[in-house]
Parts: sequence; C-alpha cells; structure tokens
Amino acid sequence: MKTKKEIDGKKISFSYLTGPKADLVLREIDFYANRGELVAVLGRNGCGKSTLARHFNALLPLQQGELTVGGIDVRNQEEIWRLRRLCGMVFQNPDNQFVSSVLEEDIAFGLENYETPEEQIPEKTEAALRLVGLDGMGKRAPHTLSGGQKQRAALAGVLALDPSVLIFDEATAMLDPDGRREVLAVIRRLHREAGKTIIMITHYAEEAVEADRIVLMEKGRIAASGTPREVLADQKLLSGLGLAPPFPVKMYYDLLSAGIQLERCPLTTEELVEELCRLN
Amino acid sequence: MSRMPAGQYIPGRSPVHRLDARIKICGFLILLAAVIGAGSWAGYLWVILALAAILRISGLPLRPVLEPFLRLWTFFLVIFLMNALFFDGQGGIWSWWIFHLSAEGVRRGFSVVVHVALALVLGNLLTCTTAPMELMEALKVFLRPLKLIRVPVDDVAMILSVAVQFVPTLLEEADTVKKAQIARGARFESKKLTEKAASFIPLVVPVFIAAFRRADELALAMEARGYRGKRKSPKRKSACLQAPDITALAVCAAVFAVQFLLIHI
Repeated sequence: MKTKKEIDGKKISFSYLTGPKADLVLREIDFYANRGELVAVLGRNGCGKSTLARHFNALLPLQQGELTVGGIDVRNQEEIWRLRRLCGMVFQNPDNQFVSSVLEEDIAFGLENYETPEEQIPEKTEAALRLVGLDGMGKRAPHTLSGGQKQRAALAGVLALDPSVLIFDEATAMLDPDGRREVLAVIRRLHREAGKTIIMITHYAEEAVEADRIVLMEKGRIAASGTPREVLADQKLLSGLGLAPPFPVKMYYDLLSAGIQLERCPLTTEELVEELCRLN
Repeated sequence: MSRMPAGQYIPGRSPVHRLDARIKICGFLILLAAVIGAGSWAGYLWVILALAAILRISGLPLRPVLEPFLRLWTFFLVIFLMNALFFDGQGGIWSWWIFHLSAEGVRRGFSVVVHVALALVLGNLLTCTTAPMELMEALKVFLRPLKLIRVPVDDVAMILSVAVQFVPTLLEEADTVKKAQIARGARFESKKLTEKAASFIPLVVPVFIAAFRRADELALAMEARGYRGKRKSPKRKSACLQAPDITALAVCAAVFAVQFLLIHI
C-alpha cells in the first residue's frame, strides 16, 4: 500500500539571502512522496531541485511553509538527528563524501555518530557493502575505486543507518555511462526489493523513466507532475523547460513528423522496438 | 583509478598491522629517538637493520615506504651540499670563493640526510600499517589531557583524519589543474627557481578554491550522516594491551637502548 505520505510539504518557500530584494529559490512548493514511492525531480540547473531536497533532512532551515518527513516536523530541532537518520542523502560528487581513507571505516562513521553498539558495527558495515554490491571491499581506499564504485560506497555509508527515505541529489551527474548504470541498478533494487522511499534529483529525463511519479521544476516552482508517461511523452512541456526528452520519445515525434504514427509514445528502448515491430 | 600515494594505509594482517595504534605511536617515538641519536656507522647500521626488520615483518611493498625519499632526492642533495660546502670545519679538502669543502662538512651533510630519510621511512611505516581511524583514536587518547585546558580533542582528531583522507583527492585535483594549464601553454619545467615558483601560483589558487568547495560539500555530507561535533566513537581495540603489544614496545626500547650504548661507548 503506497498511500501514507512519507514526505509531506506545503507552501515551501526559501531564499538564500534575506531582505526585500532577496530572490526566492523555492516559491510556495507543495511536494509529497508516498511511502515506498520513487519520485524523480527533474529540472534545469538552478531551478531549486537540490535546495528543495536539502529541506527534507533539515540541511537547510525551513523558512516558510510546512514540511514533515516520516511524521517528523523538520522545524523540530530536538528531532533533527532522528530525522537525518530516517532520511539519508547521497550527493553529486562521491569524492566529497568520504571521511576516511578506508571504506569500512567510512561506512562506520554514520553508525558511530548514532552510537551504534561497537559489536554491531562490522556486521552492519558488511551488510551495507553487500547491498550495493561491494562485498569484501571494506579494506579498500576510496580513491582506488571507479566512479560508480565510489558512489555506491558513498551510498553504503548512508544505507548502514537503514534510512527509510533516500535522496539522490544528482548522484549520477559525475559518472560515466557504466557508473551511471551501476548506481541506477542499485537505486532500482532499493526501491523494488527494500521498499525505500526514493527521491531522485536529476536533469536526465532517461533516469526518470522508471520513477512512479515525476515532478518537473522550473524557477523554484513545480511546473508539472505526473506519471512518467504523462510527463515525458509531452515533448512540448519538456523542451519548454529546457530538458531533452528520452531518446525513444524524440524518435516517436521524429517519426510522427515524417508521417509515421506509432500506437503509443514509447519511453524505453524496449518499448520503441516493440512499437516499431508492430508497424509491420 | 589513481596510484596509491606514498604513506597511504595499506591493509594487511601482519603482526605490525595488528598492533595497538597507541603502541605503534609510542614505538614510533622511541625509534625516532634512536634514529636521531645515531651518530656513527654502527649507529646508522643498527637503526637501518631495525627498520628493515619492521618492513619485512609488516609485509609491505618497498615502493610506498621508500618513495618519499626517492621523490625528495633534490631536497636531500641540497641539504647535503649546503652542509658539505658551507660548513667551516676541520679537514679542508678544497676551497673556492665562498665554498669550503671539508671532511667534517661532508660527514655532517651525510648525517643530516640519513637522519631525515630514516625519520621519513619510519613515519611511512607507521601510516602504511595503521588505519587512519585507529591512528585518530590513539591520538585522542594521547591528547585527552588537553581536554583539561578545553582543547577540542575530538574535533582535532576528526580534522586530522579528514585531512589524511583528502590528500589523494587534492593531489589528483592538482594534477588535473596542472595538465589543464599545460594544455593552455603554462610551463612548469623551468630550471630557474624563481620562474618555477611563479609558475606554481596559478596552480595553487584553483586547487585552494576547489579544496574549500570540497570542504563545504563534505561538511554537508557529514551533517547528513549525523555528525554533530560531540561524537562518541567506540574504541576500536580493547583498552587492555595484548602480549604482542608489550613485546613490540619492549623491542623498540631495546633498539633504543643499544643505540644509547653505541653513542656512549
């Protein structure tokens, strides 16, 4: 049942500056994510995606509006550490997330911050590494890993705390195609098998195809929201926001302008192949 | 993937790796005293043998331990020449203008170079066999008395640990910036010291800016993982020292004692 709201925000506004001339980075945003839902937040650079995400674990203070995550009011300073344990965050650059030059020590960092009993730490560390497919690599130094492995190791550091909400703040933006595939595969697994609520901040429309819901942002506002088919198949909407549609969608519209009508707008390469086969 | 920089922790299960980090720091200080005290051929040979034995037992590859010495060979050469050519001592061999080559100067130059090189190797043996977090925990134990005068010992230890972790990243960053600037015509290979120093200024500025940006992002990532300054990390090793720890400390003390005898005989 994906009905209970894990993240529930109303009329969120935020500005990095103060005073009457301060520009609002977020403008009265209503945002929610149901428990176990994968929500992709799409938008151009500077549209406020990361700023919004940093409100979910109180890395930025809520200036206006209401926001609860897992039932915790993000303004409640007494609950802030429980909130951060509940809501893990993976950042863009994996190199800037490691605090130790040994992986298992880095993963233990969060556990130690939450005073996990010493005897449980090795077990939880190994379990986190296993979840991201890096079992047996706990003794490695982060700088000896590939980009994708580094990002998965950073994710292991977050997963060790067993958060129910995971925020990926453009976590694939600095990775090569292989690295992106590796990280996306782990995200999919965490969503489907572990039932985590996932907020994926990205500016790649292809990455949002498998989301349950897509939220499009522009200039600090939500420009559109809906299922991937509703949002990504609307080429006019995407190009209006300066976003490139996924390749199959572009192909669909190119074929349409050449007078070839497919039965439905495909979102993935598999769907495109299926639709093209139907033409015969 | 990048090459492992010198002095970086190399995981292993050797007896040296398994020693308590507190004992390793004490042993390091005792052996450092033995290195500094060495003043004769027998003394040098004795500490070199001791370090070679530790290297053998630790099972470490030679390269990361000896690399700083090889990388800094120009520095060592300058130190040697400064002592050899400017020391105004007995046994003059050759003299020209302001330069006076003397047997005593050569001896002093050699002595300084050997002392610094052995101290570097010793330091590398410590950092290559001890995980940074273990070192941090041990440092915290030694710094604990400073809490009495309100020194934030936990924070200092955390800063040291993060600094160690950032070394390879910043080296990589510096290399990238350097290559980018070489591609745009910058020259770093000038033989003149002043030109060489000037050419590094455009390299230092972007690396510093990048370091601050990284520090900002790391601070956010640490906060997101529950870091709140007052961190109570569990002790990684038993508070009680084990038999191998005591033995190792005794061996270090014995090395120092022999060096002491060599100095005074």
